[in-house]
Amino acid sequence: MSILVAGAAGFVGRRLVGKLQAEGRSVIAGVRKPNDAFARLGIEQRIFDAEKPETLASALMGVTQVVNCIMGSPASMIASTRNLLDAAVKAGVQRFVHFSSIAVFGNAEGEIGDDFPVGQNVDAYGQAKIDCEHLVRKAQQQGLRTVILRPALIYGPGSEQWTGRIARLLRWSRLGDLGAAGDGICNLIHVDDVVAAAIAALDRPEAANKAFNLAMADAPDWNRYFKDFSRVLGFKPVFRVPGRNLRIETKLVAIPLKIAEIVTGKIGFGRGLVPDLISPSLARLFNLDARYHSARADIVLGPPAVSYAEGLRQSADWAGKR
Amino acid sequence: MMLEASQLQSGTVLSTQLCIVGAGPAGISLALQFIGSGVDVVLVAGGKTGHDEAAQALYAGEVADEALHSPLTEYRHRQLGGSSATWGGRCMPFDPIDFERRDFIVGSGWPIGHDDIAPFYPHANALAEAGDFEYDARKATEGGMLPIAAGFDPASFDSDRIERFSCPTDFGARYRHRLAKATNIRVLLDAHAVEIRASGGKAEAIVLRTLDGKEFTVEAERHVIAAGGIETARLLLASRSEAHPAGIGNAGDQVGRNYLCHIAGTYGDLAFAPGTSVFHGYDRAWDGVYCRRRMALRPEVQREHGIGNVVMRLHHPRLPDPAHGRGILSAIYLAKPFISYEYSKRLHGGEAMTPGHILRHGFNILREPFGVAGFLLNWVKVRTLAARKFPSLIVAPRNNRFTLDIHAEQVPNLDSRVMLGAGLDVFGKPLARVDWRYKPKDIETVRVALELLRRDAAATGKASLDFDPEGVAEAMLRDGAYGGHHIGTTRMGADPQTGVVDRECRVFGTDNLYVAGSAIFPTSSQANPTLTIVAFSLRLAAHLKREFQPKRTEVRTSAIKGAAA
Repeated sequence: MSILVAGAAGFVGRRLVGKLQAEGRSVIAGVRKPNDAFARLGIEQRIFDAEKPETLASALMGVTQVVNCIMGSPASMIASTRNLLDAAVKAGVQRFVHFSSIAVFGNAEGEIGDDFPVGQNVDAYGQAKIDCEHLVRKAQQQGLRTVILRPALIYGPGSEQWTGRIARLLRWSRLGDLGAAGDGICNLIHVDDVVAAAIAALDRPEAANKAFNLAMADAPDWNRYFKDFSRVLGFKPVFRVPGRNLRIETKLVAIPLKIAEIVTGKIGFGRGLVPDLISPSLARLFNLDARYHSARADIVLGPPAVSYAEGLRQSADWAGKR
Repeated sequence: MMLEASQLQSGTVLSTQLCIVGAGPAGISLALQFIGSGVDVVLVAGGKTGHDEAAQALYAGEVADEALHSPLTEYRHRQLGGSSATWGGRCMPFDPIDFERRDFIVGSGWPIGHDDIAPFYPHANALAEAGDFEYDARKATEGGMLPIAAGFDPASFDSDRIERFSCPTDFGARYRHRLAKATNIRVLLDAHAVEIRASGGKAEAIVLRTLDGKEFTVEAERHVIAAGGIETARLLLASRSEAHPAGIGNAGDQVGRNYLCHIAGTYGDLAFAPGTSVFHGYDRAWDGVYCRRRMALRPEVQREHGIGNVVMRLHHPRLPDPAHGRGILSAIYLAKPFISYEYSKRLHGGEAMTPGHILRHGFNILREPFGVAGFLLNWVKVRTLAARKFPSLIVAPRNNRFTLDIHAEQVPNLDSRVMLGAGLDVFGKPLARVDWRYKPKDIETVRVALELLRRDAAATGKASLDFDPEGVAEAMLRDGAYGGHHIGTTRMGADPQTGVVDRECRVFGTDNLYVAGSAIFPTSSQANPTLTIVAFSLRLAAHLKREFQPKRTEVRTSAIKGAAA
């Protein structure tokens, strides 16, 4: 019984591998290049590029379960998922847990349960996630037992996107109490709850061939999250961000920052020096009136265990140290 | 969703479950509670999303004594968001004593108690964006707020009560996007209610007109008038018919009576011992909300002396008199033409500027040019450019001598009235006529409170208060009724002889017409009304939701019983 975590060097992958190892499971970290941290922990690593199918047969040798945490551009996510599924079917893998995202629901608003239709005004990322889900269902028809997880916004220690970045933007008063611009629902899910759900998805027979939303119950609105997070971070008094600031951010500031991000990415230097940008799509998210419900996961995989208050405390601990 | 009323055809009948007339803090707070409720709502906004002269002109009217009451087009905004487009943002709840029957105040006593409204205050506070519902100076900020001055704790007053400040939130700008998104709410912009049509005890329709000459109606199962203290009375009175010859809800001749504002002004000379460190400014809660201490007359003292509720704050000297010697105050005084009517009225007073005057104020500025420049720069930062605004001018006076900013309850008064005047608006409907009156008790409340403070301040040994009891009335009436607080014209009462609405805010004699807003307050408290207006809208929403709920519980119980049998 060996579990291969593909995309193990990523934020969720790392945490999942660590947890599996702590539980004494036989876990293999699937990575594109050797990772020192895993080496130090004595975790077996298999080096492969899922976009190249020829590397996968050996990667899956002796593997009974796969968790697909691979992130990347839309094309690379689709290619990787297709190749991994093919290889898993061929290798006779017993369980394939696939990380999708609530991005498959696009900008749909309202109460969004596990069986809500996907595809309403999705962006390229969401569309890629939908395409990947199709591939997973096709493999399912070929006899592979699969589980699709659709986590909401994963926060907590290690979350650059929804914890680290937000903390930096709060520190510089670029975010804060946004008033009318922050009335959307901030659908968070703690990284440890995501990891716990992934492990339950590996273990529980009744999870097979189902898709699960993963989101906290009674999620706060964005203003609440920004205010509460500022408070535990010690950024007080919370700044009320004028509407014009956010317009300047998304319409003017975001453009040079995006260019800087691309250029530093290309030259491979200085990326960390570029300040975070607030893109128009991020600003739109702050006003999205969608609440994701994870009723199926609550029953089959177990409800989230990390309280909002505890999650904030851990987040501040982690973000405050950097 | 948002609809321009002028896009509708004349004669249209809009059918809905709940019609709310008026889209200020009262109407918007009420409508927000129905988002996603399944109840169909029409919210009638008598104006556009911003200021509009033609809509505003419908607020014109007469004032019996212009020295005592501001023109009816001031302090009121006929637009989405209503007068929250101009409010100062000061929030504090009513006190328990405000709801009690007090033998020494004729007309006091609500048919409900403080406990009936208390559960709704925290949510109201959140809607007003005034932060946590915490009005105790010791808990409002981390570590507690600074005292006014160490050891200065006048015994008759509670100095730990605070006021908190909204941004100030314009309810229209703030909540418009949520109303626009809601599929079960239709906001009618620029639709002007001219009549409530009723037969017997049932309000059947609201007649609406547009400025481009269309007329249509909204027929609802339940109607709520949330048009403000003056306009609500005007609409009820103007809805005269054979069945309701004196207007709707007016069988007991109560509509428009007991029109209350607050008795307010700056007075007295409170001198702290030289060198005493005095703090009379704002502190900020963790979430950025500005908080400020006030001295609130204790309820047992009110009872002992048979007077109304009153609060006082330490205040900078009056602006017009250059003797205050502060450049900042002089600069603001000279900036009068650039400051809105509502703010300038109490700051500047009615005195005319003479050249000599202007010169002396000019010298004040020249005495501390850097102080003035620094102050103005900071003002631009914390007020002009800020989304959460520094609430008011705080300037430390020279020599630790303050005046007192007083805000007192006005007791019920049958002769203080909103009536229909002789003039007509463009729709041919009678304009309002306001005849605001006060009673000797109103002045007495302030005079006695000042005397108590004089005694108590001396007892602390930290400060002394000097004031002329003979001058209290003049000081409190100098600017007339406190602007913008329009209270009591459809007061809540136990019966139609003493009130217009019952404990659920339903108009007596009707079964489906309600009032939201400060018009329902039978007494005025010391508190500014907006927070309590919102709280009462939330209470009304809870009541209406129960009314709209199909009576399913009984069916279920009987079904269960049947199954068990």
